Amino acid sequence: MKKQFIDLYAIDRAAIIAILTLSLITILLILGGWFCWGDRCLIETGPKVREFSWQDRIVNAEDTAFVLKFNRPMSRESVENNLKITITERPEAEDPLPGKISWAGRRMAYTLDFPAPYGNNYRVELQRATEKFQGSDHPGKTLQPFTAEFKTPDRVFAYIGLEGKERGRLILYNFTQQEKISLTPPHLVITEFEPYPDGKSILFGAADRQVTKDGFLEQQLYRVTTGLYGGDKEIAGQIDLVLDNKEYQILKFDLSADGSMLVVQRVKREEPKDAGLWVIRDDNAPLALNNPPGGVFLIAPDNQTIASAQGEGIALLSTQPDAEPLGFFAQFGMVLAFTPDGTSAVMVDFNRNNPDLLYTRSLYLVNNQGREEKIFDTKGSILNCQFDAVGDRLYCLLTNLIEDVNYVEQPYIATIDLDSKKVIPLTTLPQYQDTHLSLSPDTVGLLFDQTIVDPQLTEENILRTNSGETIATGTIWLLIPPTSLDEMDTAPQLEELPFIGFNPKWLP
Amino acid sequence: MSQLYNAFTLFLSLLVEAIPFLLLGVLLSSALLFFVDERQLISKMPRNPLLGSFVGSCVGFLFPVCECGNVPVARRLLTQGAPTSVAIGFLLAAPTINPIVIWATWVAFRDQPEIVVFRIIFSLFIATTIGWIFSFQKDPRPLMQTELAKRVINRLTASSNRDSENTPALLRSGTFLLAKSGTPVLMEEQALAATLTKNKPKTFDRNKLRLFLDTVIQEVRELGGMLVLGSAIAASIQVLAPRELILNWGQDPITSILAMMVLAAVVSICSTVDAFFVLAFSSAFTTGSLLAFLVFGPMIDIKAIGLMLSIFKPRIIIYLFAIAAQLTFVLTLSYSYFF
Repeated sequence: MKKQFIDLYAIDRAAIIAILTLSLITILLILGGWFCWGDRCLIETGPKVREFSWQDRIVNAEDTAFVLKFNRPMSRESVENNLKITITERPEAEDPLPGKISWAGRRMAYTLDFPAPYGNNYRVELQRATEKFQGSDHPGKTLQPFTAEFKTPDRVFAYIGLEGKERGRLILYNFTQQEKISLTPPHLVITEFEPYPDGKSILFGAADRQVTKDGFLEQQLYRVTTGLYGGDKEIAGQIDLVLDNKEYQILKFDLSADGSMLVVQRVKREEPKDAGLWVIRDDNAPLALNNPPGGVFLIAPDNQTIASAQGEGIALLSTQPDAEPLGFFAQFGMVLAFTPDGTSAVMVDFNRNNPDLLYTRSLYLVNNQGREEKIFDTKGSILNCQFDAVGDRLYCLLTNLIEDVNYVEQPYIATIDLDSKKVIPLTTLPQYQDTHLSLSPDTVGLLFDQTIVDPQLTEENILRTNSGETIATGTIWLLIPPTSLDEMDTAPQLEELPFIGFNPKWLP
Repeated sequence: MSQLYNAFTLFLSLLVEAIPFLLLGVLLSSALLFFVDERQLISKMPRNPLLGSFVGSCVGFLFPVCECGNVPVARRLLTQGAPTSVAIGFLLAAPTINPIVIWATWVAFRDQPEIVVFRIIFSLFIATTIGWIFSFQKDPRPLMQTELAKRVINRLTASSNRDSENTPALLRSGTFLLAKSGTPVLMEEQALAATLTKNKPKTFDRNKLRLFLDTVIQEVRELGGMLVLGSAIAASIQVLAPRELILNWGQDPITSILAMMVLAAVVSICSTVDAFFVLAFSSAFTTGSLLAFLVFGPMIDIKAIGLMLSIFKPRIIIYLFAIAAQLTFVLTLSYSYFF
């Protein structure tokens, strides 16, 4: 026996030592999970959540689903039954984010039924869920408790002030923090503005307050920081010039849904015939699209198409310079809005070619395959429409024609369910002078304004309505529609906000 | 009867999958013998045991062969006098640490890049560690089968003769070599000579080509036989212990790793495609156990044990198997617990 040991080669000794050492480590690893004090063990052997896609994130309306990734196969039932989402400040609120659960292997996706309401902190907790292996009939080890938080952005909107020092300036109001700041300097009078999709800045057109002659035609395009959504509050109000008006006057502009592209309608000062659309991508120099001249236009969410009113129809133009028009809808006179996914748009048919429906306007849903679906007819006007975040409901500003002694148009705001085509009026308005609508990204609140004109105010050159009358003052209203059409018995809440201004717009 | 058919089908599929790689490995190893100056190559191999085994583990990047192709190359390295650490490092890591396998793993597990990363890290770590352990054995002959060890002895003798005389011209005597071609012992000598002549002005040498072919045929005969044997055993085990049975052992992190390691050893699937095979289990098993399959399978499987028996004594294969299995288990269980 002794001789045999001596015959062992170096490799035998080395291998046996290695095997014994590794056996010891293996035993320690296996037993480590058994040495526990209270909740803690020498080695935590339970399954755990490896990844939560919304961990400590600001989640906006575009985020529709989160993913939980486990490191072991889980008992799906135990996860679904124990997953708890609460609002941190109001833990008593039951099921604040209803949604659907789907699984792919060790990953669970939770798709929200509707965007998470803004201005909240949410906590996701998962305890007591258990692992479950294919070959096992009984539940395995319990998940290591998991808690994570995410939040939704503050509810913030911007408007053009009309009172005192705020007149003509861009005002930002944070509903959640109840803070109001003027973003733009006193010398600029804002004509129109559009927030960038990340909410960190706002694109606006403005002219110098001293301008007397051409009014809004002297506007230039600027960008201003909001200091929101991860931006530093200190940097709110920093302005840079996006497009000047030295050679060309700026008539209208539209920002693409992803914020990467800007389309501007400009006219050359020296040669007024030279008018058309220009595209600016990622702050590069503007490129002329060289399309036939048109009117109101909108960039489709795919960034490839511009819907522009041309003649008596809607032309679909390419965003590439010198390209042929992509299509023409002779039947429609106006594009009001695109669905968030860009596959459909609502358009207005003025029924000029249909003697039976003369003086009737029809709202159509037109998809990108060219399929048209009539939503409703009205004798009144269809002024503005916006889709909700999911794209299955419309909020519209409409009018009813009251055929009394005089023909009077009574404006009202309605919601339309696109499945049932049911039009449900929410509130009637006293007047519709250039009323602007803005639906909050989480679809909880609808802002609109009511402006009052004063023909006597001749010194004002820029803040005018579409019909050229000077805007004297304005009020901003918040309408909170019922969350579901079944609850239409409960009256929508309407509130006048304590701000003097017009053109309110929610930030994304 | 149907089980017999199944076993035969599995046997054939294993062979069909493995033979191209075995041929590639044999061609590479023969080419190594004839077209590379192994003295220079081996003299460049690091003598430091840890560095040597690490370099050996990374050589797979130059020889993209799977676990059937690496055996002839490792065998050649050992008989040519490469440090044991280099040869063992290569033997264990080459099937995983090569561009084709890494790419295939990436394609299969694109959404779990950690699997690709840890497959590389664990394989390198295990191969380097075992290479280092084997470096304690300075003389490789006690590890090897007697026949193979003799070749090393002859090579060493030839080498010492050469050194003492320092006259490579003596070895260039064509008539002497031709007369003895065909016997394995002397073929090594001929090969050595062929390589040495390579340093001289290059001429096409018909003899050299014949020697190359002779070596290829001999290796295919030896290794092919072992591959057939290994594949037959692997196919029989798969029929007797079906995959479902093995998979059902996986009931927690520990047993699922063990089940996947047993599965890897039994199915003997080639490392170039094993990532796609194991992808099917990714939802029902832990990442740790998938890693165990991907790390352990290419190192040790039943089909390759047959081939390894052509190099090593059974006891050495047991050491290789045991240490590789233990290291795989410890690393992948730690991954399951701590990541």
